[in-house]
Amino acid sequence: MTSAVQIEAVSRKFRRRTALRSVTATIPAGSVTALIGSNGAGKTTLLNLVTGLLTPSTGAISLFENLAPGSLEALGRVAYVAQDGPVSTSRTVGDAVHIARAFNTLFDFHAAVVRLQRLDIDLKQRVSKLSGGQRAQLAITLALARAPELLVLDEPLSSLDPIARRDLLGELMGHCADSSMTIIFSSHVIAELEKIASHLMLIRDGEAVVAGEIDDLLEHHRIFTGTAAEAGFVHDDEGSVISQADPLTLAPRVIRFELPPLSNALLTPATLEDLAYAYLEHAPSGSGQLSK
Amino acid sequence: MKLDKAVNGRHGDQSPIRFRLNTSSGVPTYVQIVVQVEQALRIGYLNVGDRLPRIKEVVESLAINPNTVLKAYRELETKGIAAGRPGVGTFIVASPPTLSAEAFEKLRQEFIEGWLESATRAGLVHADIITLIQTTLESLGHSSSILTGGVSQ
Repeated sequence: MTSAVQIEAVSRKFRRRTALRSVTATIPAGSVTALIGSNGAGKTTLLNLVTGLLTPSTGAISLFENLAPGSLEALGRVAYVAQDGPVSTSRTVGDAVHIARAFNTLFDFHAAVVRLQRLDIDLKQRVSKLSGGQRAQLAITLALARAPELLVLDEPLSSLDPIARRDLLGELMGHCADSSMTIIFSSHVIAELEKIASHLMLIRDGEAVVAGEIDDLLEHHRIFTGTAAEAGFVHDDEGSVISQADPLTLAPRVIRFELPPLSNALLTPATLEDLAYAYLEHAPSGSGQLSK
Repeated sequence: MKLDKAVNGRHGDQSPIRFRLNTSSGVPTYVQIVVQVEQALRIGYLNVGDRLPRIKEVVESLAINPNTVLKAYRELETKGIAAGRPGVGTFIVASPPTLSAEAFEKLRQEFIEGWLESATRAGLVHADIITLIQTTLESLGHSSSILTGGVSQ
């Protein structure tokens, strides 16, 4: 499978702090990758690096196997909707669409106008007068009209109402079914990701703690429902504890297995949400090996 | 091929079935789709020759990943229930094997009077029984075929 984004040992330092630390990951072409992490974990920095708005301090990123982010060729194939849906606010919606058409060789003007009409966004309206949700929709419209091969969305759902969220996710999935568009999007709403994402990348404190295909990740994780004394069957080489011990039973909760485990009455399948919370709450590296 | 498409455009554009998702059931989405197709066949809502909804239609209405629908349709193909025709769609080609009402009732009675009675006498409650059945099926390696309607490989 070809990769849409290849991230190799990428670190990014700002003046006083390190936002990303040696992140390595592959995002396959055609995948829908959910990027999750707590506030300040480095999600937006990573998206800015992938789209070429920032350059890595060390390490390298390549798009579509051999293009540098931000290169002219890459820019034509990547669309980025940043968090605040940034569209010049001093003009009208119609102006914004015309400007986008003028700046892009590939731009489906008709599709953009139809989409805005469907969303009841008036072309004569000033962008500054739009609601947060409408402004986000305008930015998404302009991104989709460019028919990008890689669509990068930073928290696209945060300003949308529940119906608009569902419709947007459905629409994006329709685009994925039509073309082999790759989507990377960050979000805090894990339940919404579960249905649409094929891949997960979880960032904590600037490090990618989990990256991979969701089905595969779920196969390697289980919820442990027994007590600490009953955990003896999990040997060091087989599994490591991901989430914090339960304060009452001292039993581990989420366990990662090197190989998908055999069925056991004390293990139940984990959901994406279980997994995300376990990794976001607790540091798996070095700690938490089951000894007995 | 052209003719096929035209014919479909006129008569078969709407698939008779529309999928619904139960997000709190814990049953994987693709399994829910497979089960809904099989149930629709059993009650005669879907018939041999019917077209399943296009992948794009399903993902737009349910907001799910296209791969999930592909996986469900592939599972239906593996079971011999559906067949994909490139560029046209996925069609129902056979019904899942069904049990006669008497055979079903006989199995049910055996279960209630036999195992279930012993389990209740031993003090198992509803949740214990479900867990025991689930873990047993899983350990026998039958989880996916049981979940999806019991056609063995």
